[in-house]
Amino acid sequence: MIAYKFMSAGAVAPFTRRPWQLPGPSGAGAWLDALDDRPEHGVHACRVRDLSFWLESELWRVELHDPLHEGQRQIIGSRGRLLERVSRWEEDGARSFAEACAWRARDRAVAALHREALDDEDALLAGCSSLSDLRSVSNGIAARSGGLPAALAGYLAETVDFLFDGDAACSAYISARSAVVAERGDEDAFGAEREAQSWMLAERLGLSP
Amino acid sequence: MIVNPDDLSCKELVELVTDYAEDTMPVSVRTRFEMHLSYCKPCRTYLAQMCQTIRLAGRLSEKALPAGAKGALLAAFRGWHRGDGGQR
Repeated sequence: MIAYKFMSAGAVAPFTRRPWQLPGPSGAGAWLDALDDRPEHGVHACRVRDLSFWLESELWRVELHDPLHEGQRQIIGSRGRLLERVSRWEEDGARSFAEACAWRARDRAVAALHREALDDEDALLAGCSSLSDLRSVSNGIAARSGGLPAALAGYLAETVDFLFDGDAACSAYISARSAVVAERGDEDAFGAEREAQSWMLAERLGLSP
Repeated sequence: MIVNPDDLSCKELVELVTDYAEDTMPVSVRTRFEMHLSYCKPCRTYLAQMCQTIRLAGRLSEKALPAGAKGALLAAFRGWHRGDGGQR
């Protein structure tokens, strides 16, 4: 099965720290075997729709070998190998992805405020045209409002803070958490927003499902 | 506490870190744990520190204790069980 895997720098698995062999001129890298038959010790990768849950510094297209096990937001194989590096991810892909996530969070916040007839805050956020502007306006709303506007603005301000600090993964996560606030505590909104982020990422990087 | 299969709080991660380090965690919890690590740098640092502590502490033996330390530790734990916080 063809899947995707985020890796630490140098094609190192982010949690086990196992290095994967790089593809050579003649094709795919060597197979990396699972440590044993337990699913938690298998070779992990994910489908396109779950990419945003696993952001790391490198993104690779990989092949997983049967037997496969369907895990939560991941596919687990008995072995795997690297096929191709998605270099567009490292060429500003992370930053621009997190920016797009922040604007999605802004748009969702505007829609939520509009539904509650909170027109002043809705208009202020809708009028932001840069991330600096969004952070400044959000901080202002968070400081002087309460309830839904303050909560949403707090998330937006943090989203931009982490983005400006260069932490795209945390910024995108906070963007997705803000969906739960916008949907009045519906935890399912988090997973749904993460999936929407994944599809957006796949489109930006030209990945096939 | 809200349990979201796609998420885990920093507080939950701290409570689970020993199970993760000792590889005794069910795969569903392990997945949530690692999802959290994917975006949370402070928790990555915490996990690395815990793993380092476990590695270093694993090298210690009873013989490595300085004189008097064993008695002091046992007294502290007895006091802790009595509820006086180990104060002597």
